Amino acid sequence: MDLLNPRDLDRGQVRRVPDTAWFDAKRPPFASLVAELSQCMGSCGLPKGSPGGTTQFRGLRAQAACARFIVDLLNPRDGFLGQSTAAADMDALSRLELLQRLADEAVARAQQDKTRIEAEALGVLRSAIHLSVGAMLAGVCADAAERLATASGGSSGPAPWHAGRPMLVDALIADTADAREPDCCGALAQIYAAQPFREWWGEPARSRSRAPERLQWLHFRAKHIDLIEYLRENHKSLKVLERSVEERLYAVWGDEAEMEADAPDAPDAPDAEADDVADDGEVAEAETAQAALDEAKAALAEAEAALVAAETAQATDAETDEAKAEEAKADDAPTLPADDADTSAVQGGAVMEPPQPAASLPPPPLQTEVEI
Amino acid sequence: MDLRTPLSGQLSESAGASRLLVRPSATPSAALLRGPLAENRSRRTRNTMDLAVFLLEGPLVSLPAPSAADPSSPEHTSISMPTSISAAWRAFVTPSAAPRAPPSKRICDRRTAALPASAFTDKEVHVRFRYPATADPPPRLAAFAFPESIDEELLDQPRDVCFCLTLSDGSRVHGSALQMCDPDPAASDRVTVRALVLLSKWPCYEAWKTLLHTIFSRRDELWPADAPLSPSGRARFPEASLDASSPSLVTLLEQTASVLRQSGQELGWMTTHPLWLPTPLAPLFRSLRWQPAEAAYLLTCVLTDQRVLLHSEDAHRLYCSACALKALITPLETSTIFIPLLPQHLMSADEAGTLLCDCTRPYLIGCSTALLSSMGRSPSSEVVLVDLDRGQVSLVNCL
Repeated sequence: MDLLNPRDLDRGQVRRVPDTAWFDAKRPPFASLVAELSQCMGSCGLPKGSPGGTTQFRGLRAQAACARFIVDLLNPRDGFLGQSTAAADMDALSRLELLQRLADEAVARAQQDKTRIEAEALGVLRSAIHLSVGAMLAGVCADAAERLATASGGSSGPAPWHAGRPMLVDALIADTADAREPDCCGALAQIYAAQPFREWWGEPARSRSRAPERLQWLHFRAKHIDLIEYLRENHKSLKVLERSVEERLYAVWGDEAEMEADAPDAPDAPDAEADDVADDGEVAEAETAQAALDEAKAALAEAEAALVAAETAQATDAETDEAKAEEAKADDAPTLPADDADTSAVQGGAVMEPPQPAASLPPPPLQTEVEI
Repeated sequence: MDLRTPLSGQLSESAGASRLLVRPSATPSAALLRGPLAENRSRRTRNTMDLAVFLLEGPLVSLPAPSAADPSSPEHTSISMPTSISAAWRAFVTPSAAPRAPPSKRICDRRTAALPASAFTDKEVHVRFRYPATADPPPRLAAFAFPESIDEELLDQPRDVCFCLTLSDGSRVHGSALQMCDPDPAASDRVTVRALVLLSKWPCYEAWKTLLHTIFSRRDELWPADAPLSPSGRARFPEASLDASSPSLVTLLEQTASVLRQSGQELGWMTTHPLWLPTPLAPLFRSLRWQPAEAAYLLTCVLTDQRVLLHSEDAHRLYCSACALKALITPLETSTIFIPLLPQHLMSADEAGTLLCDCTRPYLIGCSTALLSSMGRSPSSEVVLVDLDRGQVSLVNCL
C-alpha cells in the first residue's frame, strides 16, 4: 500500500484506475458526451482574462447531455449501437436482435400453448426471458469487441474485421459497416454488466421514479421530443411546485422578504435561458453582476433621455399654452389654465421626478446562473 | 437466469454498510442500539421524520491565541464611501478606474482549532432542544452536525452543512445543520460549539437552510434555551433552565410540520421525479475544473460499479458533488454504498481505513481530506480518487 503523498491532494484531479483503461474520452460512446459537456462549460474553464466571452456554465444543458447519454445506453436499437456504423457494433446489434427474436418467439409459443401453461407461469417465463436477454447484452457486446480486436491483430488501425467472422454477420453489415469507425460495444459491455443497468433492465418498474409518464424522454428520438426543451419545461414545473410549497412554509415563518427575493421570473421573460437550472448558483457571479450593471446603465441612459425629452416637451407645451392663451384671449373664448396644461404634460410624461434607479432597474438576478 | 438474488443481496449489504455510519461498532452507544431500545429510538425518530429539530451543544473548547493585527494591512485602510444616495448610485453606475481596496473583513486572520474526537461522542453532547419533544437524535449525529474544526470565522457567523443519514431500515434522512460557535461568558478564550440540526425525509435543503437561518435571526424571541448566543438573549432568558424549550419555536415548528404534512403529496412527487436535482450541478463541474472528460469519466465510473472516493476540505462541495453525480445517471440508480459526506470523527481512523481502503464493494463516498490524511495509508489503486479542492489549502500542515 502506497503512502499518501500530501502534495497530490489539492490539485483538483481525478485518479483513474486500471479497471477503467477502456475509457477513452475521444472514442464513442464517450466522445459525444464530452463534446456536449464541452459546450456547457462556457468560459468557465478558460483562464481569467482569456478571450472567449463571458458565457457561463449551463447546468440544464449539462443535465440534458448526461440524460441523452443514458438514453442512448438504455436503448440499444436507437442508441449508440443502433447509430454506429462500426463493424463490431453492427455485429453486436444483429446478435441482440436475434436474441430478442428468439425471446419473443419463445414467449409466443408459450402463449399458444395455453392448455399447459397458466397465465401466471407465462408472466414468470416472460420476465425470466427478458432478464436473460439483459444479462446477455454485456456478453454479446464484449464478444463483438473482442472478435474485432482479434481479427485486427490488436492493431489500432483499420482492420479487416470481416476476416474470420462467424456466419451470424450477414452481408448487409459487410456492405454498410465502416471499418475505420471506432466501435463502442467494448465500453458498452462494461456498462451493461454493471449493477445500475442490470437493475434497470431487470425491474424497470420497481424504482420509485420510474413511472412511465415521467420517462417519456427515454424515447425522445422516437417521439420527436426536444430533450433540452423537455428538461426546461419539467424544471419549470418542478420549480412552480417547489415554490408553492415554499410559499406556504414562508407564510408560516413570516419571511415575506424571502418570498420576494425568490419570486420567479415572468414566464414570458425574454431570457428563456434564465430558467436554465436555477440552482446552479455561484457560477461566474462577476459576469452576472456585470450584466446587471450593463442593464442599469442602459436604464439610466433611458431615464436621462426621457428627462431631456420631458423638459423639451414641457417647454414646448408652455410655449404652446401661452400661444393658445393669447389666441383665446384674443378670441375671448374660455381657456384652459396654463398650470393645468403643464400638469397634464407632467402626468403624461411622468418624468418630473428624479430618476429612480431602483425602480428602473431590472429585478435582481434570481438565478445566479444565466446563459448568455 | 435470475438476477434478482445477487442484486437484492447487494442491496442489503449496502444498507448494512451504511448502517456502519450511524452505528459504529467501536462506540459504546452501538451496544445500546442493538437492543430493543435502539429499535424504539429508531422508530421514534423515523416516525417524526417529516421534521425533527435538535439543538446540540458540545463541550467547551479553547481557541488558539490570536496573532497581532497588522495596522498597515488593507483592512485597516480607510475607504472613502459615498455620502449621498445619488453619489452612491453614480459610483455604482460609473465606477472609478482606480483599483479599490477590498472590503474589510472582521476576521482576516483565520485561527483554527481542531475539535477533539471526544467532543463528538454522544456522551459529551447535550441536546438542549428537541422537536418533537419525544424525538431522540440519531446516534453520532454530532459527528455530522458539528464542525471538524473551529475558527474565528465561525465565531463571526454560523455555517451551514448538509448531510444524509441512512437509518437501520435503509431509508434515508436528510439533514441540515447550522453550526455555531459562541464564546464562553466565563472565559473569553473558550468557546462552546453548538449546532441547530434539522432532519427530514424531504431533501429540501434550501428551505431547511432558510428555516434554520430564520430561527437563528429571530433567536431573541425563538431561541429554545438559555444558550448564551448574545447578550440580549441572555438578558431575555435569565431564568430559563437548560432543558427548557421555547413555546414560540415549538409553535413555529408545529406549523411547519403541518404544512409539510399537507404538502406531502407534492413533495413526494417532486423529490421522486427523475429529472429533479436535489443539489446544483455547478459545484461538481467546478471541482473538476470544468473538464468534461473528467466528468464523463466519473459518470462512467458510477455506471460501472467502481469505487469512487471524493475528498475535499469543503463539506458543502463534497455533498453537492456526490449528490449531483448520483443524480446524473437518472433514471438508473446506484444501490451501492452511498455516503455523500463521511465526517472525520464518525469513526476511528482504522475503521475509516477499513471502509475506504479495504472495502471490496463499489461505493460512492465523500470524505474530508483531513480524514484521508489521518488514515495513514492511501486507498488502493483500484479506487477512483477525486480531489475536489482547487489548491487553495495546503495540506502539509495538516499532515
